[in-house]
Amino acid sequence: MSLILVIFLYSILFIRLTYIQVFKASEYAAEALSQRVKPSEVNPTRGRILDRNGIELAYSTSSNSIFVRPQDLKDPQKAASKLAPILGLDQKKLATQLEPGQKPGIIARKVSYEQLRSIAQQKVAGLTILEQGQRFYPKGSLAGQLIGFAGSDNQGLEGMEAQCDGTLAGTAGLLQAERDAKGNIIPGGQEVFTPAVDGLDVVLTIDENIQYSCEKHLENAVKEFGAKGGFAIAMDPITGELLAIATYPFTNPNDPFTSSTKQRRLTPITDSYEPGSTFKLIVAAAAIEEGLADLDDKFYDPGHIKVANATIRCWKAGGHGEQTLAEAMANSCNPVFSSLALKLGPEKFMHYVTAFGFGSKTGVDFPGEATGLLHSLKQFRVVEQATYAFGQGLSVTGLQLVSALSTIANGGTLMRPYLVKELRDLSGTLVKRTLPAKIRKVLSDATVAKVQKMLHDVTTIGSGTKAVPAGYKVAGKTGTAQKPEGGGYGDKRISSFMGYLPADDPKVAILVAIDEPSTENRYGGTVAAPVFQRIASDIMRYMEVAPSEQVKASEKVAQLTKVPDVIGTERARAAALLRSAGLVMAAEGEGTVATEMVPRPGTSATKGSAVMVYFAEQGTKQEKEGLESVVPDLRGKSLKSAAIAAGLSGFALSPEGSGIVYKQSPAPGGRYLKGTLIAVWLRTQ
Amino acid sequence: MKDYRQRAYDMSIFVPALLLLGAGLVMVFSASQMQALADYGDMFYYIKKQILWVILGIGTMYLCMRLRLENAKKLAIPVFLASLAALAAVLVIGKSVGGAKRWINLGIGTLQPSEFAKPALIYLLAWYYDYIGEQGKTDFVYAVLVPMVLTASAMGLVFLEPDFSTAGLFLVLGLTVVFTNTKHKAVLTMIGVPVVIGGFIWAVREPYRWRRITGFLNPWSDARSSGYQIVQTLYALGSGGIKGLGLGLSRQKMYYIPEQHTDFIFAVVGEELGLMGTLGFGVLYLIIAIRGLRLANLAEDTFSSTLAYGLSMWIALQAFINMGVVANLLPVTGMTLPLVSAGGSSMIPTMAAIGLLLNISRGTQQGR
Repeated sequence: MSLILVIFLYSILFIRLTYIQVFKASEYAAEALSQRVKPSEVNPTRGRILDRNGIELAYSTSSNSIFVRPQDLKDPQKAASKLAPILGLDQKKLATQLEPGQKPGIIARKVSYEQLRSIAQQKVAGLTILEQGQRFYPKGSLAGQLIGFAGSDNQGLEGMEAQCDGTLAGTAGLLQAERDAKGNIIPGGQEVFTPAVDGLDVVLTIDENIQYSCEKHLENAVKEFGAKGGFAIAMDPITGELLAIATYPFTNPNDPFTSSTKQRRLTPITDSYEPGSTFKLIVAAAAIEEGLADLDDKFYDPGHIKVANATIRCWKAGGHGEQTLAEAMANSCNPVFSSLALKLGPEKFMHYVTAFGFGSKTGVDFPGEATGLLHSLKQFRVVEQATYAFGQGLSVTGLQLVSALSTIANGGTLMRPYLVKELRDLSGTLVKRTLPAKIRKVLSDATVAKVQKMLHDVTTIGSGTKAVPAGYKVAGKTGTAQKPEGGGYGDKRISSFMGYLPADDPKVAILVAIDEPSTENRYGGTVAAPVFQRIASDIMRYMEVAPSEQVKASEKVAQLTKVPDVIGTERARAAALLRSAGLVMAAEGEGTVATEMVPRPGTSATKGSAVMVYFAEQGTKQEKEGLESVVPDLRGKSLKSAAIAAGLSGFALSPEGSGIVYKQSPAPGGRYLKGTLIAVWLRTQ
Repeated sequence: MKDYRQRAYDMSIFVPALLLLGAGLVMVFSASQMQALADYGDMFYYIKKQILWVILGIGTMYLCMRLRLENAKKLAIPVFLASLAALAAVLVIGKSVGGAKRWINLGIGTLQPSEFAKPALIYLLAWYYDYIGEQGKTDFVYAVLVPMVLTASAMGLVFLEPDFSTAGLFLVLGLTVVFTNTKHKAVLTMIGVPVVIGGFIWAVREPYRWRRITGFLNPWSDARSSGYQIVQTLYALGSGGIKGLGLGLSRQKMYYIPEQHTDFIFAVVGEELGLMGTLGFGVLYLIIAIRGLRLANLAEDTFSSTLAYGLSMWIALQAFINMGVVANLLPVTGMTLPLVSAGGSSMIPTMAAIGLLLNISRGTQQGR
């Protein structure tokens, strides 16, 4: 009986086993496999954002790094003694790196988690830990609004980071591997690996040096004139490439949320404003193209013009009297242009306004472009026509304006402005290049030549003379727009100047606008034109554009001035000293006392050019006075930034070639007597 | 009567046992190497210990084969008392694992007294029926009550650990031994069946135990906790299919199957060797059981007969319960697979049982 029981029990077991291992086998096997195969994402590396010369504007750290802002450190010696043993660095060397006045930078890369923990325990202020995969913007606030920023999850949130997100982000890979219950991959198990596709590098049309120049001069001007803000755009008028777009106040993409949403807007693209007199060139171009006026046609300005029930006044009380069209442009005379607009009639006028690209997006590759606001043809009555003529009653973006100006500069063709020059993969191989895109031919060559001449007159005999850097011919137009307030116009102004140079072979078109200058004289020709001049001067020098032959050698010499010694003086005094020598101060650093300057005192400089003055706290001066200094790494820098870096360490520079420094002697890191000449070799990439 | 006595040991017990022992070693190595590497940094850690246990087991088996049973009968009482002492000791000095004290830590290893108590109880009952047979006492008190009390003494101590499934096995073994040795079968059925059912109901009055039992009915309803082990073993069996994945190639042994080289080693057998492997193992146990029960019928004295019966039933039932758990026929218990599962507490008593069965087989007539 027991035997029967045992055989019975075992029979049930055998049937059960057969059922599971034969009939349910494939089902269970499949479920078991799907349980063991766990997919895991493989993160791609986010592409970099580079300027047109390959300078990094944004990159992702591939390992933990430590970034230090020396000015935040209380005691560099103590900090160095704490950090050096943990990071395995030379304590003396680190201490010099941490001295106040040194540039913020990464002091250690590929830092392990253990090291990070030990460092955290030391509680050293002024350190920022850049985590693996973290986005970093080495140039700080440079082109902050333009670059935008990316979130920690490799997602571009604003600016170019958002615009090119698909390109930069790459595609996540997928590892579907059979894993044991602890999550380890089973060797020889099923494995399907789809590798991550890394993001591409985005090479912008922006030039770091031009951007820097624009920002510096813009900031100085806003502060000088007590303005609310301002912007500057530099564009290659031939191709439509944007070389710089600066808007002040700046935003640091490393810390984007300390800036308001409004401050993070790239205003020349995303915001529109009433352009004021800069718009007059549209009217002039349309009238000439339509054969309604010519440069030498005489106009009489009594100081006002009656349109319907409104009276339009010229900015000059009593008017300009009799003048040619060219003179009217140079004088920026409102009544003349209003009458021309009325002559054109609403259809033709509006035709040219839209043909120049106003009222529609330029198509620039940047998110959130504004269109500006025009009246519909139905609502485009005589008063509107008359006020449009001097840029009132409509709104445009800075980018639309500079595109319209470029149309004049390049011979009559409206180009699509663009920011992405190239896409490159990790190895640097070109993947895609953006080609200049013509939108339409707006004007005939004959008309363009006339408008060009007229704009040149503005800077020679008219309102824009302060815009001209010595030795160059500029064509441009001033603008002093009233800001609309509560249905009418109040006391606030936007002072602007736009122009291109050299006038006979344009290399760059620039628009500078200063928002609400608080000084007495707020005309574009007074406020914005000098800013234009400084930026233009920097760019011409940087682009190595030879001054026009018409400037005589004697004049040129007269334009040279001796650089005064401002070291040791305070900010205001330094600015005054330089101004009296006909130079412009470009301040660097947060301190109160000038500690270094480039070019060095006693050398000759062109009048109107900028002198870099570095300001530091008083105490740091002594440390700078040591006889020796460490040679900085100048490679990869532009001539200008190399000169600054060398100057800050007390060295002088002897450059050869142009473009980016690729070689230097003596090599970085060595200690040399201050004043030693560092030879650098530059080349364009 | 001319000598019909079998001179040789029953190869039908010896060979299957040896096969299980050998296959068991291979499977323990296959199932334990990862765990050993993770726990001790030595993939041979568990298999080295197991080889040692097998050597000791073979020694024990040889000893039990060569015993003169006529004289060794008398060992029943001291061996049983020693077992009871060990069972009592475990309640005091036992290592507490998950609220239960089942193991004594001997420093060099751990010992599970209940494993040793199983053959000790059977040995005692064999001696007892032999003894009362000689005395001619067959009434209810001697034939049923006293052996049940003896069974209950061992069972009760195991119950207190607590280890309900092992206690249950003691009860079932005791009942079946008593059942075959008494005429009072009807009365025993009337008492035994309610006791077993009542004991079962008492055991599952705790909801968590009830869930553990019902968990096996539908393991997927709770695959994350109580059904987890069962789901994983079923996955292993299913993955093995008919032919198996091949020796050493189990995936589920990689921490999915719990206790992969001890209580659930049969799941690894199923995955690596397939249905051919599981049926093979099952058939080997069945052969041992059938031959063991046949011995019980052939044995001339009550002691040998009862001992053969009890030991065969023990091995047959414990192997069935272990395999039945893996095949999701029974709720999860902590019972080892005799001759195969890693660990000395299982190996030594089982090998003693095999040795005793072989010993008996040599003394019996060839049934013909």
